[in-house]
Amino acid sequence: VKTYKLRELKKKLKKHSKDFDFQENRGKGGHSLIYHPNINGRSASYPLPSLTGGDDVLQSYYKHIARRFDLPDDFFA
Amino acid sequence: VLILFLAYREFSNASEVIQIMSNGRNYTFTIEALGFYEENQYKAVAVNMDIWGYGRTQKEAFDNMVDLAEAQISFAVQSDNMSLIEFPAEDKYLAMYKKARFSQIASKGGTSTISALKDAVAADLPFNNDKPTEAFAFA
Repeated sequence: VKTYKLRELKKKLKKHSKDFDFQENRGKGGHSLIYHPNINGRSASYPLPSLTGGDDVLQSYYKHIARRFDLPDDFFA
Repeated sequence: VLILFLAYREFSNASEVIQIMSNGRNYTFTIEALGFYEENQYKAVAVNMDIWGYGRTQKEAFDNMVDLAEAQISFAVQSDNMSLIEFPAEDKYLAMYKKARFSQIASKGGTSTISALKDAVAADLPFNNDKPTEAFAFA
């Protein structure tokens, strides 16, 4: 599985659906947050640990992102 | 599932109360969390939100999870969209959480009554896990 930097992850999600949105500096830890207004009829969001664009996103989070946003099984392959 | 399960060295459950103020209103949320060790790291999950934290220690994993849960709740409150919060973890983690919680009650000499459950959850500190619980089998 490829390791994605935060900015690469955003680009990949945006390519999958232009409706993906990204919030920065959420909460006390300044976390990033992924948001989509319509995943199977309801909005969804998922927070990520505090990262800058050039930081790697921990691979452990890929499956959580995929589940939350109903992404294809091979999305992060 | 069995192979994955055997990799678990220990697990525990805990709860955390998060309070958020927005637009002059106070919101209180209780996170029910499961923690365990797997794949050379500690993991913690808010089972009713499917929000995960990872770390080199139980505390680090739990604290990371709580921080992320706070960010999720804060966003939901500010967006006036509480449906963002409720998202159950996968069934196997819900089952682990139930087992851990019942094991904890049993270790405290309680019974599986609703009041005992409430007492156990209320008394929990993050990863009160001096004695790792015995492994359990999935039904």
